[in-house]
Amino acid sequence: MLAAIWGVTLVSFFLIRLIPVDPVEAYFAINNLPVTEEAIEEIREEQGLNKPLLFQYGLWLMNAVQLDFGQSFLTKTPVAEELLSRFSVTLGLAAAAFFIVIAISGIIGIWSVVKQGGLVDRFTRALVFATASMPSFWLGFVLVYVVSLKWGILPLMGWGTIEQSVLPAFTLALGYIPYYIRLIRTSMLEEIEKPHIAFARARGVKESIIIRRHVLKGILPALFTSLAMTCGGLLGGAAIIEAVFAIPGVGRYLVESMAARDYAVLQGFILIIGTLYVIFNFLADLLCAIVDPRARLKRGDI
Amino acid sequence: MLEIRDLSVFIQTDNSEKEVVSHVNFTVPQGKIVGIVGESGSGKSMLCNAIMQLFRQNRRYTGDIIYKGTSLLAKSEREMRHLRGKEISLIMQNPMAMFNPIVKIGDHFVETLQSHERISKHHARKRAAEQLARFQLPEDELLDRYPHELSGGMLQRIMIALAACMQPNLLIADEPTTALDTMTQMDILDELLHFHQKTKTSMLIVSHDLGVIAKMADFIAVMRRGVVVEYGPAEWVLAQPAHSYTQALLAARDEHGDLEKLADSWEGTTIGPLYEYKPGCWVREEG
Repeated sequence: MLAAIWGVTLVSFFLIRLIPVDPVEAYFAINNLPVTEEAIEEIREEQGLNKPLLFQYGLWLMNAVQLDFGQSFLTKTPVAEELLSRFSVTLGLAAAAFFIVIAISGIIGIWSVVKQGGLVDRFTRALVFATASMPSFWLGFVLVYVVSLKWGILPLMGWGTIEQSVLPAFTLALGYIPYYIRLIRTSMLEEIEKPHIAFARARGVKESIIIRRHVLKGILPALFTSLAMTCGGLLGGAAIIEAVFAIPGVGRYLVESMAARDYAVLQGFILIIGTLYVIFNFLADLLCAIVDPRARLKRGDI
Repeated sequence: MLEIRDLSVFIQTDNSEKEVVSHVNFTVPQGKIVGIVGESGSGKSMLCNAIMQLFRQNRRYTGDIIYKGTSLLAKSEREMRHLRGKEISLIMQNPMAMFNPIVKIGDHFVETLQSHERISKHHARKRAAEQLARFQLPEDELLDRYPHELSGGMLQRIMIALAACMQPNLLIADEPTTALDTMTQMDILDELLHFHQKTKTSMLIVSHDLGVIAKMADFIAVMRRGVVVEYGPAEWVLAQPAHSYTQALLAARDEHGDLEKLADSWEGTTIGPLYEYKPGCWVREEG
């Protein structure tokens, strides 16, 4: 796991340097400053960009380990503070969406399996098909239009109160719900086909216990693995939703930094996202091992 | 005790239906062991599942299955659930696939006991331990083990202990020795015989291995392609087989021949009517 995170630091540092625009020139361009050799050199000196690349990397890594991501090029403020405060908003939005995804697709998915072929099952299958074919941001706009503008139930934009978070979180979640309903439905049906379910029935075990203890527990590992990936996707998707709903998250900050080639901000952000990805996957593996004893044998690296 | 009356089983798929068991008649008398021998795909397992009323949603039945005077086909799913595992138990083939890999052995016992009576987890575990001990299994070690940590033979013995834990009236064993090596096979059969002698439980044993059936059964039914060609007391069927398929089967056993090949190459007829050629002995009329 530490090796993976170290890999993330390498990628976040060196990948940025591949962008074919000199950050210092970008800085001058954005601020409309006169470009002179001396001025450029001065900035390079100030930001340490004239040092050898490996030396820069080492310096950045040392600081990053202590959660110091350096100073923003653009605003001259510490990146860590800015990123973390904005990131907490993004994280909150993603987390809310995450729970909406689990709750809604869990309920509908399980229901459609238990009452298989019933009204709910057929209705959701049609609905899943329909929603899966619509882009989520478009559906988001429709939601905004109907719920906020037409009915006036929920506030249109902003961030801070629970009412304000409902619409964006729901919009963000919407894209994943059909996928998870389908995942839960098909993997449960697959699990039910397994011989040990027939054996449980032959022993007279109640159907509700079979569903809970055997089928649902059986699909958890696949679900955890998938959810870990989705966590990352939700964080990325949150950036778009933030733009739509004017939420002061990390999304807009990032786009501005990108234009300015603000290395410090970009590196810090990629590092955080990458590290989170690694942590989510690690957690998923850990949960899988708790559920499935056979997975414990295969695990060696931590 | 259990009577199969002119039973046919049809498997239903989306738009077609296939007959896998055709007009089968036999009885399992109280306290006796009935063995069914037949090639794979002869409908033996289908018969077991029909008695347990498993996979009901895509099966159609004609005829009847009478258990203790009432029809199992007419029972609701709820009534069937109370019979399964308590009055009628099933031992299935391939024990490695029959235990849930993420549930401990002890919990398989606990949930079975709790399905049929009000019993605390603590007491159910104690009962499970007693039951394992009754079958000479090391109970302290096994209860907290996961299925993948145990051998196929061990799991099969646990499955027998599990099937027997509610003292069923009828024990159905569907290929109880198929996935096991020869030594373990003998152990398992001895285990089943021992259990039968002690409890006088009625049994229905199904196998493609005539040796297994000959060792265990009081009565033998010979099946081919979903049809019973001969039924009668074991000693009679083994000594004086009336149907030419049974004769071929016995000859193949003596020469260690392959049952599947025999079932494919044998060219006699099984469509004749079943008649009782002497009391208790039934055979299909041939050509």
